[in-house]
Amino acid sequence: MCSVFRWFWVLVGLCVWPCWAFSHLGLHDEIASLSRMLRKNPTHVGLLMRRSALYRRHGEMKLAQQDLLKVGQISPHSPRLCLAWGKLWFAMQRWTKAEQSLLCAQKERVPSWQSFWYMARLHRRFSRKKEAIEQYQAALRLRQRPGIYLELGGFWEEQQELEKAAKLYRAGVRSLGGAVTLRMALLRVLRKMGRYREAIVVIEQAMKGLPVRFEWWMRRAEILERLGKKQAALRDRRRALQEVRELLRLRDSSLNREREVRALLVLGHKDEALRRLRLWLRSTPKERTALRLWRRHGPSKAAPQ
Amino acid sequence: MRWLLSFSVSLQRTQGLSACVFVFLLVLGVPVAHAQSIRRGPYLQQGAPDSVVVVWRTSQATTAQVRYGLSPQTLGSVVTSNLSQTQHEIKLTGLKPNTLYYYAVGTADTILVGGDAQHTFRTSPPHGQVTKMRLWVVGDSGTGGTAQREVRDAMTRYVGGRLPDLFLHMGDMAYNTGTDSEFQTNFFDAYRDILRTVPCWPTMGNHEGQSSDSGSQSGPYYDAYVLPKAAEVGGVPSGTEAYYSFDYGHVHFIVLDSHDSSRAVNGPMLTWLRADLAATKQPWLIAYWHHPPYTKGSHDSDTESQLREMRERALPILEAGGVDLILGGHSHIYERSFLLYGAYNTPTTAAGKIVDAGDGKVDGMGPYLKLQSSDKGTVYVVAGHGGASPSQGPKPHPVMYFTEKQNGSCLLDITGNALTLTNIRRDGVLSDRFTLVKREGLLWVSPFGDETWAPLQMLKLRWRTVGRAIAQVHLRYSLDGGLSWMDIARSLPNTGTYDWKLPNQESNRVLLRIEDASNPAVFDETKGYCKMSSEIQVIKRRGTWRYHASGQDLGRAWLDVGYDHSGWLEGKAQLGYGDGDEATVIQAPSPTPPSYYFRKTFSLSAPLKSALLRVLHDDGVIVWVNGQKVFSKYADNGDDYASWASSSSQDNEESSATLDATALQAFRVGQNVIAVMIKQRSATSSDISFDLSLEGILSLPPPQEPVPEPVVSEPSVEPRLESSAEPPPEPRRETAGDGGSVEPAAEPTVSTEPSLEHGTTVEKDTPQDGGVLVLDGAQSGRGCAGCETNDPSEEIGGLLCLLGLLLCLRRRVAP
Repeated sequence: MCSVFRWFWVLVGLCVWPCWAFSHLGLHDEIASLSRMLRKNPTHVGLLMRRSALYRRHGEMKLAQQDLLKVGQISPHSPRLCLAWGKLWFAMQRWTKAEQSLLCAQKERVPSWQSFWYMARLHRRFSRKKEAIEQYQAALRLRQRPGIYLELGGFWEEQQELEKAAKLYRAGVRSLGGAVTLRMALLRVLRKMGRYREAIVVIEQAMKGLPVRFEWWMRRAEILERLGKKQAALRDRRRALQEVRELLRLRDSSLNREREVRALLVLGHKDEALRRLRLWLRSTPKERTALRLWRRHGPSKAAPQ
Repeated sequence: MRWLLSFSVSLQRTQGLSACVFVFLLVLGVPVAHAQSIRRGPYLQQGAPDSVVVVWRTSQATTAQVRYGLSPQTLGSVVTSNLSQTQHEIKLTGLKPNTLYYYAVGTADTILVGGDAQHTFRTSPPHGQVTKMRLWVVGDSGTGGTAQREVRDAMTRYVGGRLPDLFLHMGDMAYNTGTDSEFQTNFFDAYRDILRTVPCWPTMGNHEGQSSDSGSQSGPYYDAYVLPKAAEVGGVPSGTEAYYSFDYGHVHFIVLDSHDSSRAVNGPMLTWLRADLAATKQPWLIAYWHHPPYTKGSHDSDTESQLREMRERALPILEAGGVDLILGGHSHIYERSFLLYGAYNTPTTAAGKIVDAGDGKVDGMGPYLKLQSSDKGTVYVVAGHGGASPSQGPKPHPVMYFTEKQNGSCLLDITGNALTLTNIRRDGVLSDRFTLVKREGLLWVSPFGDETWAPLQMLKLRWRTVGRAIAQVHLRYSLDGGLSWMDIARSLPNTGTYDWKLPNQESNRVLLRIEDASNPAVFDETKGYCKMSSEIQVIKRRGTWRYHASGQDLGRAWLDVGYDHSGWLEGKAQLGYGDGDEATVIQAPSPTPPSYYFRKTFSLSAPLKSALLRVLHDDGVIVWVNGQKVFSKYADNGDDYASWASSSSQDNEESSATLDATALQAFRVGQNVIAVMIKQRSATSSDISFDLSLEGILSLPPPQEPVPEPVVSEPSVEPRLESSAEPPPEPRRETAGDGGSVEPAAEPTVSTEPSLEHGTTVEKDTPQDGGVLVLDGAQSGRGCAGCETNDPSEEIGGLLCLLGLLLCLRRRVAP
């Protein structure tokens, strides 16, 4: 019985392993390419660091360590060596060592934003909220990046510190030229907070200059409805529907068809929406988005013939 | 400098050291006194309808200045940056759309380079305006080697004098690891002449990614490029230069980062992508990134994570948004797909995913169509063949229509509602071409563009109608790149073909246009300029010849114009055997015959007043035109079949001759026959070779000036891709926006209002200050090829040196 159990897991592993292995084949080519270069130039610190990073992403932690140890021998004070160790220990879930290495990285003359970012994630893992926030903020001071804003903002949202999340996203929108991902995150938070008027202002800023405003009209309509302004919401939805019908004349894409159906549904024209869905599925029976909408709103789960 | 050094050494022997040290220091001081030189660029970034960023790098930190205007003599607008640095990025704003500007760059005190016809930029057309454009697509080129240069040169030869409007790079532009010096030699030096005129829009490859980092936007890639992150050129702000979008005319381009940025479905990049696609209504959508979603070249898209993830996560978003064309690099090969939809699975299978299984060729099975009733489908092109050594997997990818393991690059022509991509190999051969059409259209089949004709020749025009029936068409031509048009035929029944006798005119900017007579908004133009010239290539190298190599004596009959050679074999030159370099290998009969026969017909529209014949031959050769001998070499033993060559030639010897008046009389207007006999030296000769080209100048009557139609000047702003049920469109604007690169008339003053940025000052021109600079074109001689300086410190340094010498001499003669 035990041996059957054991062989079962071997079989599972044999099935799972190709998925994992094949998913890394691109990295393998890059590692091989770096290895070729290192054969000609075995003490090239930059190449060793790069290969170590690729080994780490490839899951070959021991090989990654070996490369970093070699870098340490060739050039013990090599910049970003501490950071590389920090990332490696982090990937290996050796938290104490990760923390030590990241602290070392932060003491460099020009510390990398990543040393703070990884440290923030480490603190977050251990629910050290205050420390995590400090580290995220330090990373942001060094590098304005949408991903950092979104992570820290997401962290604030988890903590239900919505005011701080909103303030953070606003700062990100300002400093990153109106990055749409941050605008959308800000909008989400404002809606959670019930600050609908501010949300409308964000939407109107986002819409400025855009040739297509469908999504923003739909979002604004939803918020106007919550504010009790049903007529204004209806106007926005009608505008959105009119716009998407013009777009459909220009480009009959799945995106535009989906938008038309959504607009019709939210305007209460369910029959028309289902008729459009039927036409859509007739022309592309396997269209996943259409099938999903049909399953949700259609009279039956089965797609129409 | 060397003579000064040796002079100072001799002085040291004869007199005190101090004076010679002074001279030595002066000699050394000359380079110190010598001011700036350009290390990189200038090159163009973020080309927009009303702005452009000019970037360059200098040898030393300095202030920066750009002067620009509508002609090289009137660079009256100036933007200056007072920041002292070596990398300069100056944004010019307040520009007019679709306008050609000349520019020069330098410091606040001096011009370093520019102010000539080589330093120009054309601003983009207004966003949304239906525009004819040509784009150059290159990937994986950054080797700095011969292949890269040949790929580049093949493109520039093909397009002639008119460079593409944009340069799209698919990544891997600086092997091996994208260091700054690799960028310099393998990209900026290699494409210098193109980059100073054509804006480049890159995406990062994995090789650049070894020295640059998208997360921190640092490294040589991010140092070099100035890419939009706040929707500066259209699209939706991404907040990062790693991925961005921009508009050019009626095309929306989306550039993703498949290497460094997160490819998570709900990550920042794909979230931005959804928002960006949702916010555009441009008729054409083109996306590109480095790692292609489908390939079986030097990489396998079924097994490699970045390629698979882009296919599984990004493609559903892009195809749902209606993207038309997706480009990629990374795989060192050229691959072009069918029209596809929904092939996201791994491993990728073609069953049920091919929307159109045709060849996409206008002169073949027909272009790919995206009609209003079925707007699905995307074509995928892998263009990773720009310089790196090509390689291929064991089998082609199942979704690919065409695969070729040869270096090359692609030209993308978009005219109204038709998109055509042409693959140009490094040897200049156009090995693939497809067209994608939206709604209905008229498409030129022949000519396509970039051809050369002789005046007065007969040209067969062929076109194709797609999408709906069109009863009548207008045919028109332009000799000035689209500024003005003349009729070839009006209200012609739409038969798809017309024989046109070319006018007696010469021009290197000829365009042809075909229009729906009832709806001129439905039209097509030839893609690149054609040339009409009395200087013609009568017979081209690598042409097709009939040949007879059976060892049979054909007597003299084979020289007759009326001789029927249809039974002969046919092949492309170079013809021959034994050297291994033949395009057509002639089966060597045994025993080796003394002579081999070749024939070809060609047509002339007018008499020749001069002709240059070039023949590649091994061993002897005799050439007849219409039965008259015009050239021979190593054929002193006779021109009959049985005579052997009088001497051996070198391998693949090339001979050329300008034909004299007697030989020119052999040519006639209309059909001609050229007959060539290649002779062996002896029966033991192991090879023959043959190819031939003939260039000539036609003798034409004096040209008659055609009367162009009056021009109607109204802009066409909205894209015209809708059905003919629409009301008649606004009159078409017949300006450079429809297909020429012609400078508008120079204005007396250019009074611009460039926006003030940090550290910049703006100087407005005054009527007295119209012309700013004149360059003498002198090289700096400071190891910067192509750099031009007009640096007074060079002269000052020389004077100081002379002064030092005089002082030395004075001390020597003093008692």
